Amino acid sequence: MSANTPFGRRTFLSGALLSAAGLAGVGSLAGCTTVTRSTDIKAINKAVALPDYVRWKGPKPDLPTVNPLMPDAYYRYPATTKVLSGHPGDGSRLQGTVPTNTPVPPSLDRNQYWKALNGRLGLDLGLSITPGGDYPNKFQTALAGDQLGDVWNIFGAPPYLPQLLQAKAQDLTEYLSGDAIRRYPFLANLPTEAWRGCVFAGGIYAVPVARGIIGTNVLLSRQDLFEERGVDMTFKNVDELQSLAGQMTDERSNKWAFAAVPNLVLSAMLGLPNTWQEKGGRFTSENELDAHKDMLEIGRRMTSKGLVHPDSVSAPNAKVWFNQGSAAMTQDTYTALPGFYQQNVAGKAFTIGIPTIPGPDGKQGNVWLPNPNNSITAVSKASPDRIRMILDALNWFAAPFGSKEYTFRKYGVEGHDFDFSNGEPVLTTTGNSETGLGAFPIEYIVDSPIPIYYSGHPDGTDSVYRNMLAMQPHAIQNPTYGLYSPTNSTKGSLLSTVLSNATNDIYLGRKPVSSWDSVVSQWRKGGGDAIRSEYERAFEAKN
Amino acid sequence: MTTTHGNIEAPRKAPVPSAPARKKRRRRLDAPSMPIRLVKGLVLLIICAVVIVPFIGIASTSIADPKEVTRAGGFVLWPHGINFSSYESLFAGGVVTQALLVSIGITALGTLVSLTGSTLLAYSLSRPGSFAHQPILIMVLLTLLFAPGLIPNYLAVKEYGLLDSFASLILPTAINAFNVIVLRAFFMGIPRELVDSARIDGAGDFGIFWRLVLPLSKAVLAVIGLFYAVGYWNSFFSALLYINDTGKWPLQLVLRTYVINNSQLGGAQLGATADQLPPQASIQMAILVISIVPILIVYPFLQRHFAKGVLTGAVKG
Repeated sequence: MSANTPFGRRTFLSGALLSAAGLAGVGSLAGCTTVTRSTDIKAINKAVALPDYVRWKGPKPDLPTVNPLMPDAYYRYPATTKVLSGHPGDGSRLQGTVPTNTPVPPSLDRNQYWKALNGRLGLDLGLSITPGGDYPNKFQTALAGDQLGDVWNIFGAPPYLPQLLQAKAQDLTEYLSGDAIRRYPFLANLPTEAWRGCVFAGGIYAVPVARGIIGTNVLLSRQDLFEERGVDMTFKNVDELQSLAGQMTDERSNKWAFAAVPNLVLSAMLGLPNTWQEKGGRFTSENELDAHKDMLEIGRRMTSKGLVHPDSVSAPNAKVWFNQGSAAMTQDTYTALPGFYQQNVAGKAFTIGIPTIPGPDGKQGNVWLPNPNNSITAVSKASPDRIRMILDALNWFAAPFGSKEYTFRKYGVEGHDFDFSNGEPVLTTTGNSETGLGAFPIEYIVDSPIPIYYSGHPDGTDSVYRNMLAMQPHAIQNPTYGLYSPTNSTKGSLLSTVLSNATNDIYLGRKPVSSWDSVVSQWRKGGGDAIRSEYERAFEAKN
Repeated sequence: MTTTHGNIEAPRKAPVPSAPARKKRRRRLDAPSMPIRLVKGLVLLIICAVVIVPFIGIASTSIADPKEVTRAGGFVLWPHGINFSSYESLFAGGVVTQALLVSIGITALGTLVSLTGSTLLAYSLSRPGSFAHQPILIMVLLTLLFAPGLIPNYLAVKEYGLLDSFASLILPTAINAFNVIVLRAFFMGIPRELVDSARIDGAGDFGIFWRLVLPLSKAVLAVIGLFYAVGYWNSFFSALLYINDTGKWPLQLVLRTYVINNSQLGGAQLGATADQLPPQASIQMAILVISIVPILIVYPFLQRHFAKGVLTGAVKG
């Protein structure tokens, strides 16, 4: 009977079993016996030789690149050169699953840019695009239905990720480890640090969607508003920060100093470690340190003194407040600048300053570096020839700033999607739509390193360059980056919410700072200690 | 007549109210005094304002000058000028226009399929003695108690070969058990005598259904139709899971990409440039207007049936 029906008994039963396991993110791993057990922390965190880093020498930057980890800085869009010849593809279909954080572009049949992209790639590129916030649902179902395609973005840390990758993804170690990556020069142009996030169970199982240091959270200040009030926006310690914040606050005019309590700025000022502290292989969460309670007390005082926008917790809208002038300072990334310039309502006076963040001793503080990667992308298992072809395509996707391939990738077809205006590429209305505001979702497959360049705003380049130059040598990375904790992957998000809610309660005066000890105790029992233990074992395996 | 029979007491005369009591009652039945009416009017006015002002704000913000929106913190109650840049931005590239057509098609076709299926199922379940009456009814009720999970649903759609087809947006949600129960309850309330008389007049089962039951059920059909139509119009999740071709996305899913990550929309990405875009608040308000206007247009035509139908379904069971 079931032989003739499209939905037979066996399909139903296997579906039911998969669904039971699928909620835990391991649906399609049923029956797989070759993956590493999640309890074998050392095996999951086994090290591998990382790909060589060969920095591409592109157009001469407008400001000197004094540190190899700093991106090149440009005032203007540089002259571009063609860096790849021929087509990377073989004419076949390449299907990808990606999130998007911009409006969805028109489908292939109505998108000149997409058609031109396929022509340059020599591929029939199909993309399953999902709004960023909904991506986990899509990913989970597509995984269970074996519909992820050839390349698939992994956003965040799905549970049992190493096992998932071992079961479904191609181990790229032989293609990318060490000097093997030199065959793909623009993948080799991605920093070594980014590749550490792609290693699981002793193999390179993904390529990074790297963002690097430019994604660091810093303190952005409305320099024009500070100058208007005659207030110096620099500060040497918490007292000075609070003092200038008081001068920039005028509740009667709906003006506050901060859009929200700048937690990461205060953490750097108090010398807190980036999320975890590692000493001799032993890990301590920054939440457990006394300095964290000092930070909570400062945040509580800032809120009670009315220095922080009153809706910062209940209805956060920091970007609008900053642009509008309701908030003179906001904690945001270097990459947020273009958005602020675009929504500027203050006219030509609008200037963003980025003061350096001092440490406890008044000198440059240890600013927290972000995860070097926005996300990672895995490649489905395939024959060696196809894997090499896909890596060629990914190499094309990573063509760097300063190349003609980059200009096409971000801006589309000249005269149709963009035009040069005073030497700067400016998207047309059609281009905005077809390229997804210059962020066509292939940038979530792999992307080139991001330069310091703000079209039409050389002052932005100056501000970011100066700040980064001072900040970078002292910035600190989270010591757990590149380590895998199974407990963190299953409980980390919930535990973070507990801590975040408790922090808000303290800032809003609902609970005293002394309540933090019981919160930390709850965090430890709820999984914090298990995560610590797993990180310690993982650290031992990798060092 | 006030005679008594046996131990049955004669009905007592109702006590005649005294003059002040009569006056009091009359006063209570009179129209309320002017101050009371004013207070009532004021209260109603406030309630209306609470409902209407946000709508005015939404429409105003969507057509306000972008700079005015940002200056006002994202919400303009009364714009100083009219600016359609939010709508121009949304409709640029034709994605929203196409999605609008898809949504209209899905809503119309889906409502037709759902209403047809639900009505036929409910009618058959309302006739005692129909084929496999009890097992089918239990199966329908079970879907109310045990909803299938995300992945089983996805696998079912995939195995039926419906991925990336419009059918995947209609068939999995075509029959809603709650609506079937409401329809069944209504059909059971139609007097059996009417059905029997139609049968005596020579009507067959389908004739009874088509020429007698359906004309008597316009109210409930309008309500259930509206339920289904609103459901299809607002639905985005099925498309999110089952449709990879963005050209087949319905309006709600396309609009979702504008609001799901509002921190990024206003800004060109990571060193890229873009034309000046309206603020996120303007876009969001324009999205609200675009997504609610079609339903607002349909609603008044069904409102008459809506109140009647909901009451009918609610008290009979």
